[in-house]
Amino acid sequence: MDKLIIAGKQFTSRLLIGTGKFSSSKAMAQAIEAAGAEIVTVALRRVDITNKDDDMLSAIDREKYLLLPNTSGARTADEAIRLSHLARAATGINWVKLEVTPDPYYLLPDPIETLKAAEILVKEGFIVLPYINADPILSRKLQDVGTATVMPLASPIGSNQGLKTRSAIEIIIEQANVPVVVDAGLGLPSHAAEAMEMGAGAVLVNTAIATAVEPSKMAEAFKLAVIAGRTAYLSGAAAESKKANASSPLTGFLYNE
Amino acid sequence: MNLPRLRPAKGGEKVFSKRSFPGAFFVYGLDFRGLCMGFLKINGKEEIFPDNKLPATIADLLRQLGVDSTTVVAELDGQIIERKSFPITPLHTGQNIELVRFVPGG
Repeated sequence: MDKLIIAGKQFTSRLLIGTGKFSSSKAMAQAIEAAGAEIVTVALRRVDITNKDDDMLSAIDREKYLLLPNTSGARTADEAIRLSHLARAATGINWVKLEVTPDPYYLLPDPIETLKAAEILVKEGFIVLPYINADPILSRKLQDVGTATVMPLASPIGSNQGLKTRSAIEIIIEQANVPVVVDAGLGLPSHAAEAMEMGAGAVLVNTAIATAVEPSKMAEAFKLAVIAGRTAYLSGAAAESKKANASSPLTGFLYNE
Repeated sequence: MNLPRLRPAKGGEKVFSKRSFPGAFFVYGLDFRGLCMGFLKINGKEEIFPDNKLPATIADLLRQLGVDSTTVVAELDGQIIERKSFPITPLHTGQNIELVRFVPGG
């Protein structure tokens, strides 16, 4: 499979994994391994000073995986920028998954605040991967200000509804000159495969893997689906038609005179 | 501003558990005990350090809280403090400190 290149950095895997909602740090580490992921997302929160053992991420080998901090919890551009600065201090690298989600019910991203934060963060030298609604115009504006990817949602975060925004994502992919990472709402490997067949650069999956009965098996299924989808995309899909086109020869039938 | 009504503390009662108005610590501290109270706002919550036991540095604070400093990022009065500066960053009463770290997330 061809490499995924984000901000000049090469990745073999096109499956990004979110680390939320796993039942244990062991289950999380096993799933990341089974997914063959190279980029894993994390969030930034206040230290729980009443629970000293809350460092669940110690199970992740930071030499092996690129830790991609998100700005979840940010409701405005300013909050996202503050979180990005803290994340940079914590990772020592300047990659950030930009999320500005003021609406707690659908967790839909705020396009105006996201664009505003992206522009500032890019100027500050951040590698910005913005989580957005599947909006082709916003995607173009973000890549124009210099984001490293665009990350349109398939459906609301954690909803497992699959590619509800398919036609908009098709336009985004057609217009993109940065990798399109389909994020949020992919509930099944078939959803991930569908996104990859369309030409997405990568997908990001969390809930569908973390809350499966066997997370590491599901992670492997997603890994295979992403490979299948990408390979199909590179193979050039055959055309769709309304009527049947026989696969077997329409000559030499036994009953012909 | 409504000044709180002062009354002598009963046995075992924690007089200084809460500030009722800005600067209240100093009023109480000086009037009642002649102590210099110290407090920090840690992750949005006021923590009181009686008897001048305010940790000297961020590193001291983390040690006192039992928090592993290798995974923590600190923001002191809105300024990010590099981890390597924890042992040399002094703390003063009334400062606002945020201690954050990575947690699982999507």
